[in-house]
Amino acid sequence: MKKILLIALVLLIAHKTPGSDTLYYSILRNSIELAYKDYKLENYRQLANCSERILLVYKNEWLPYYYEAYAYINMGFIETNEGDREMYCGRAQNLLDEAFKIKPDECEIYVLQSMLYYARMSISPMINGPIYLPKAASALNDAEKLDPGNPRIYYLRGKSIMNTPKFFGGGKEAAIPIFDKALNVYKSFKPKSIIHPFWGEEDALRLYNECKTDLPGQNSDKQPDKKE
Amino acid sequence: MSGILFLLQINSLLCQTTINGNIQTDKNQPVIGANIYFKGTIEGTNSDEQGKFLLSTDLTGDKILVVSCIGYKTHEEPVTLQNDTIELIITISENDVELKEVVVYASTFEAGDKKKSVALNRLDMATNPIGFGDALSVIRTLPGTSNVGDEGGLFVRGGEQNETKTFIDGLMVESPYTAKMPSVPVRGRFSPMLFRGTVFSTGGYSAEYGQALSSVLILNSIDKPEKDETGLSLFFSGVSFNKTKKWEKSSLSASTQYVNMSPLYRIINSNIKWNHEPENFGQMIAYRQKVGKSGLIKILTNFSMDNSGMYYRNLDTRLDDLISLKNNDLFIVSSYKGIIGKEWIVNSGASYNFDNEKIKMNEDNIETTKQSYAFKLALTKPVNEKINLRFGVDLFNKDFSRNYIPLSGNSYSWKYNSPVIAAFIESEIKLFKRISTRIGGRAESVPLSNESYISPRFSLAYKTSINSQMSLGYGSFSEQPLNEYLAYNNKLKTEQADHFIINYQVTKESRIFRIEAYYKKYDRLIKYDSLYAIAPEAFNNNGSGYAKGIDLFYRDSKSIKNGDFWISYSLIDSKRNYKDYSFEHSPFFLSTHNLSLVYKHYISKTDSYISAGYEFSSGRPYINPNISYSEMKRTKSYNNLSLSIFQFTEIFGKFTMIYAQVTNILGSENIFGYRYANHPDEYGVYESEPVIPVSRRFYLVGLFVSFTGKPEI
Repeated sequence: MKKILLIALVLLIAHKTPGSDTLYYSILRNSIELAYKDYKLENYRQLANCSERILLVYKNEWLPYYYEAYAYINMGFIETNEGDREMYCGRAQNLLDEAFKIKPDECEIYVLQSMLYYARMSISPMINGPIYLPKAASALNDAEKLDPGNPRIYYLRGKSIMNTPKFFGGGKEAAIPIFDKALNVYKSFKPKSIIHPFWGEEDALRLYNECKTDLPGQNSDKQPDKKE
Repeated sequence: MSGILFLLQINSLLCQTTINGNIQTDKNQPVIGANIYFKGTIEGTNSDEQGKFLLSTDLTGDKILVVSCIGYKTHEEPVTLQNDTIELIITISENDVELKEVVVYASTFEAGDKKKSVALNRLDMATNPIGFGDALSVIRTLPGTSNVGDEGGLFVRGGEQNETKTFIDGLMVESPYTAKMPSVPVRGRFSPMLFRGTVFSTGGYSAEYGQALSSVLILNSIDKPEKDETGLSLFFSGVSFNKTKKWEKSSLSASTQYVNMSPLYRIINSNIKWNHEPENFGQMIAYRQKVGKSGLIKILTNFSMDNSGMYYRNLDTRLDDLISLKNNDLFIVSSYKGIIGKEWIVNSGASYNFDNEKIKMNEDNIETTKQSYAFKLALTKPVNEKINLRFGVDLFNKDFSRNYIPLSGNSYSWKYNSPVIAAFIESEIKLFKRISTRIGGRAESVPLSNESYISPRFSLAYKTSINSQMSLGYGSFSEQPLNEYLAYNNKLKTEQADHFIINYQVTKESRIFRIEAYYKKYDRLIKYDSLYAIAPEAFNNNGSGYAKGIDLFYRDSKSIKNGDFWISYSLIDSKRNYKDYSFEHSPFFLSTHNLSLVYKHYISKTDSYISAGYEFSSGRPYINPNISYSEMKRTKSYNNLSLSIFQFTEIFGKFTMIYAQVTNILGSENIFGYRYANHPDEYGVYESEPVIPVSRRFYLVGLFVSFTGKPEI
């Protein structure tokens, strides 16, 4: 049994040697799936590490930078120590800066940039809110200009509006039509490859339902049209 | 299992090396989630909860095993892979506690959105409960400032209002405040909402700034607005309209404001008998243009027109004097910042300020015109990772003229022109991992008084831990005497001050605490025989003084959910012998204790923001000539509790903010001091009158409508 495992491992390693650009795809994909399985710090840490190993070799690919930044942003949300959260956000920003250098017009990087502003805001909403909320919104607007067919734009916008006090024009009610749009766009969205970003749909649906439930006088069971 | 597959892979199996390792810190703690990989490959793994890892490879020969983890120094371990098992214990150390990119030196408060460490942000400025209608009043909630309600402006650490200079986009503003009427506090001409980064230094500031004895307020205008905006603001005593339009490489903002206090003073009692209630018109235009890859040109124009008239009791004649004021002020500043070559950062600019003030006192006319222009060029170059060099030159030229034309009798005219030429150099040096220093000097030449001098500046910051730091500051500062004095006597020398500061600051989890002690020594202050002297020889540089004190600041936006507050407390001891003082005593504007507390709370249910501000100042000194010319009396203490409510809503589908503000809720009868007649009456008594606020209580009600969605705050 042990030998079988070893062989499997060796087979895997044999494929890891750089040369073909798409060779890292399966490794990264496994790592992404592991992270999605359970929203835990260590799962995102392994994704960050895996992405970092790849980006050190495949220096001209934007996706490893994207995923390492993505991992650190999520770690920023999960972690409770404020100093660590700031450190993760700082690291994520450096990675995003690199990703922008490689692919300046990539809509997904703008989406992630917005998410990072949101993470920074959540560290101290009273102080950081007025600073980062407009920036987060502006990054999403930039993303929308580049590719209006990216569902994560609407998912994040909805999430941001949902959590924004009415004070700034937010609230759950205001978020519903945006989640609605997000879910519709998710339906027709096809990632370009197995490692192109595909996250967000489940969360969008969950938050959509949450907004509906809290709405007074509304049927909480009502859900948007399911995927066919 | 298939034998063929086994045979195919047997070669690989024979060549396998396994590394069995443990990653720990230098304190023997496990490092969780470290990245362990062979340099140049994507083969690697992570350390587990115990810091352990297992890594198998078919690589052979001499390789480098890299261990990296965020927050730690990256470790490289040479290994020889020869198909065996390697046991490794690797110790990695934490990143050094290093000073962050920007070091906070003593006496500096930052406001705006540049960094998280800012003391005040833009929302604070927008929702400031203290200081009815005064744009800069939020700065007065910081420690080191005195509350001088009858004068307005910023009185910093025992310094007069004119000892704090305002800089916009690097250039000094000659008239940052509205013109002064008796008993009416001046207000800032510029709204802080125009600015993105505000730095308020209460002492020991950079060599880049001069001509300020006590303090500098550095305002940097917005580089790039986030979006198009159109907004209309209606309030009980005025209206304002603002619009911002963005293009790809440029943007234009304009705002127009008209204020007339007349309706308000028909409702609330004013302690002043108005002949013409204050009226103000303001027009601001800002244009920004990107040039080249990294260059930015900004032009900011601000025009304001003020008009007011009052009956002011003359204690000698016991009649009301009719005083009226007309003031026009134009300020234009254009600046450029960009990068030349690879690493020269250029900041340059030019400004022009025209200010005309016509005062009519009964039938006498006093007209004062100030015209100034300034140029500045500053270059910054990072010499290496540890040294940063900044140097530059600036020129400030001022023309001052005042004509006094009485109804009958002789007219008088005073004027002078004074350029100040300056050069500065400053270097920020990272001496050690935890110690950073800023050292520099400023050379100024003042041809009018035939002076040239060098003002050294020095700061040192020591990072005591990740969250705390200590700093020291020293500086020598010079400032030309007030326009009025220089007009009477052109030969007056610059006034001087030395600052010594020690500071300790902790910033953690949205809480900021700082404590600062300082000592200031004043020299060559202007002295004169009497307030009414106009002969040149009546004015000299023989004045002196000192100030020492402790400033405390605490801000906490964490402890109370949806709540945020800050407290400032300043304790000061200062004495001066200047102006027409007959002996050394505390200046009349000085309160020993100044406290301010601001609390803000967001109520999500009703979607409103409530902010409350409380100000306390201990009594101010005064001299009662009816008792003794040498005995200092103190007024009773000053108290003000103000409340503001901001309600967010929609009107006709447009984002709307409705606000209401009340000052002095407790109705305290505040007295700033007393004024006395110049001559005793027939019974030998000097007639007197208390100096009191313009109104015991102020109300402000208004609404702001944004036609372009929620505005950027």
